[in-house]
Amino acid sequence: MSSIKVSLLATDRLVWSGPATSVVLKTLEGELGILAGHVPMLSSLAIGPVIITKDDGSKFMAAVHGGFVTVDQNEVTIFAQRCELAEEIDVARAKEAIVDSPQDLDRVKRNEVRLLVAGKPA
Amino acid sequence: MGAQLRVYRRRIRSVNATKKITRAMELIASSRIVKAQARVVATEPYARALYRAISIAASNNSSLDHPLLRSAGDAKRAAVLLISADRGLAGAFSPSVIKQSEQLVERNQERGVETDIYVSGRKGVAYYTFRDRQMMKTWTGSSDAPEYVRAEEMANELLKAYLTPSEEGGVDEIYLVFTHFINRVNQVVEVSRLLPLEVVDNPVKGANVEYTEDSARKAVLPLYEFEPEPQQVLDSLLPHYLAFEIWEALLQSAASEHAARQRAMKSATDNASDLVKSLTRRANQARQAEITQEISEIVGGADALSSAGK
Repeated sequence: MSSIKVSLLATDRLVWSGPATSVVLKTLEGELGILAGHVPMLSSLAIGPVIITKDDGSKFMAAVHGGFVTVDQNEVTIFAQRCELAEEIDVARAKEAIVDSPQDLDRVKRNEVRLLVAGKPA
Repeated sequence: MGAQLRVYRRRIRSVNATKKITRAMELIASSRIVKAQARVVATEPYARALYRAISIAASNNSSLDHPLLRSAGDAKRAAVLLISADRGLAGAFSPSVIKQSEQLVERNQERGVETDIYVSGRKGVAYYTFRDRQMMKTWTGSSDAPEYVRAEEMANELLKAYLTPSEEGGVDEIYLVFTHFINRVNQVVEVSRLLPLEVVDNPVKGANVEYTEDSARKAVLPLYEFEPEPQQVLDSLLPHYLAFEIWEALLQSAASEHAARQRAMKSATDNASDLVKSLTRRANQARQAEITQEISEIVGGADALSSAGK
């Protein structure tokens, strides 16, 4: 399977970049999977996880809170204001936030994504 | 010990104490420049991706009548965001930013545009408060290590003013005055217009890379698919762009602030050394004068005694 070049950028750093076989992310219109040979595309991202399947089959996950993705000639660039890796997520705090303010849907959603990425879904 | 000598010694001690402080500040500032500079450099990949996305979205929006792209035409009100420092002891850092923004306000006035002032950094706030000038909004407390959240706050505030019609107190133009960090010895104050955006045919910044087959192929943007509609993507891209531009200006200013402080503290340290040197000379002179006087007193006394003994 041919591979795609993925880079995941946050405002202050390059989070991850390298070859991958697929990228799954969430745009404003729903889940989207990107494989090699995808048409050029520019899309707004929703709050959601980004799952990158690396060349060796292992997965890389990050929580992305809004942002954009461009796809161009097998180059996928994801850039987001905020991007958190599994090890950066404070599970206890995220759980607390969900319990604390159940009416703030945006916040709940953000924290649910955090937990999902951290591998401890609520 | 003579009074004169004691005064000199005391001044030397005090100057040396000050020198220690300025020397420490110089070292701290120079170590922070490196970190601040690294943060500036780290934003580059993101900047490239963002500018590219904007040019894609803009070139696929045939109409381009987006409010953020509208032409300035006859502006009535402008906003200026001034980025100064929270702390002083950085030479001309804050004063030169303030000077530039004052000139901008003056220029605007000449063409009949009123200017609302937004200030970041305690020094800028102090300047306008002292002169009883009105500021629309101020931010203080993180000029030397800015955070993205702060830039977003600023962008939201400015955007709110921008999207309000000028009859209701909104603004038609947004300017940013900050210090551009070129390198450790060279920083210049820059005035740039954030909004409305100037849309040129190929607004990809940094697109002047060397010409190759590959770059030529990439320069011609293929037809993109948008999700959702191009208009909506542009809608969400532009506020994002504003926040990012402000964020970058904040980082550049932070790096410049450290560099300016390092320079100011270095010259303060050098001046202290010079002062200690000249004070030491004068103290030595005073000491020598004292010794000479004592000797002549002794000799004079001995003379008087011996002549009396005769």
